[in-house]
Amino acid sequence: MTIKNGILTKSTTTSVEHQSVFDQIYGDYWDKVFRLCMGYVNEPEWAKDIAQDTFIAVWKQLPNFRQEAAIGTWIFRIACNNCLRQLERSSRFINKAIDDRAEENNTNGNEDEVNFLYKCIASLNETDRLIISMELENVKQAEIANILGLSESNIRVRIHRIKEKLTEKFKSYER
Amino acid sequence: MSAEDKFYQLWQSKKVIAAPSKDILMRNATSVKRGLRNQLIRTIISIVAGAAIIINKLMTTAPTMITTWIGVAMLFIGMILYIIYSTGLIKILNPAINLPVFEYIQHMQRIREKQRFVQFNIFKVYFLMLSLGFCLYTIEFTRRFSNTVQILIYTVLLCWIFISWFFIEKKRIKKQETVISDVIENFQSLSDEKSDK
Repeated sequence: MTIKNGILTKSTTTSVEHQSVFDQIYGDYWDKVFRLCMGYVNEPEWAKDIAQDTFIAVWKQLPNFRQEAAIGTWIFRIACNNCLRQLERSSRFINKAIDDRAEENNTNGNEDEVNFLYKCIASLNETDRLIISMELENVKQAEIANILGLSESNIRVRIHRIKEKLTEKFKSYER
Repeated sequence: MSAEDKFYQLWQSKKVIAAPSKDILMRNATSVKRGLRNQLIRTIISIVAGAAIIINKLMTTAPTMITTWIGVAMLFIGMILYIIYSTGLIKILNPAINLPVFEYIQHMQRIREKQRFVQFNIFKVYFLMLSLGFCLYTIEFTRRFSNTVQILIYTVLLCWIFISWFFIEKKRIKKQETVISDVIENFQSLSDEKSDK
């Protein structure tokens, strides 16, 4: 098992190889997965928990990984599903927390732009949060479509709409 | 710089919490509790233990009255029904975490709908069978006592059934129903997004 240009090549897998592939994935994808989770929940500790759950799932599922998709697509798919599982925990909390923050945004003009972007993203609906997070992570639109199980044209339209919304929010933020 | 480029730049410059060491991650991996599955397994174990106690009692006392056997049969039917549906639920609890997102949402919705069915319908049947079964099962063992004691035993038994159902189970079911219905509604609204857009 080795990773070359984001493609996992399988050979007769040993435990040592499994571990070394996982180490490589963990190093390469932690930041990306963490940012995706931050875009979804906008709470660092919570995002860290979801990212950890994602890598635990990756570790467990790695021996069953079939090369139907690039390893990155597969990891983002697990991360997205883990984010959506948060709906089982406290959906109302997520929405309420985001609403509160959205109000703060309007009243506090000195917020850091990075935080403002993450807050704006966290105020979108669940799937839009995931779509724009992957887009900003430079995941190809065809891969995003594959991860979500939607058509590429649908993804393209949604990304366009989300970016318009974000641009509007930033314009009013900068005023 | 265009707004789009700015978004990319801002996104990437977010401060990231360092990845926990692999040791910590592996420790967490072994202690991950799948709440729903563990809860179901605990329930099944307690039901099987209850069944074992009844079987043991039957073997040691050798009851002669038909009501005792009907009572035991009802108890077992209730238990078996509950276990069959619960194990069916455990089977579909396989996380299927690497499915495409919208398929995963539908999968989770199905799990929760099945859970709701088990908890609210099968549980009602289970409780009914258990209560009737106990009442019938007790007839033979109360015969040796005076009428007053028999009335007392049945009063206590019926009070226990009444309190467990109306004050404990109803409250528990209502609370769980609210939680599960909210979750199902959320998954449903996400599923609807696929057809809307």
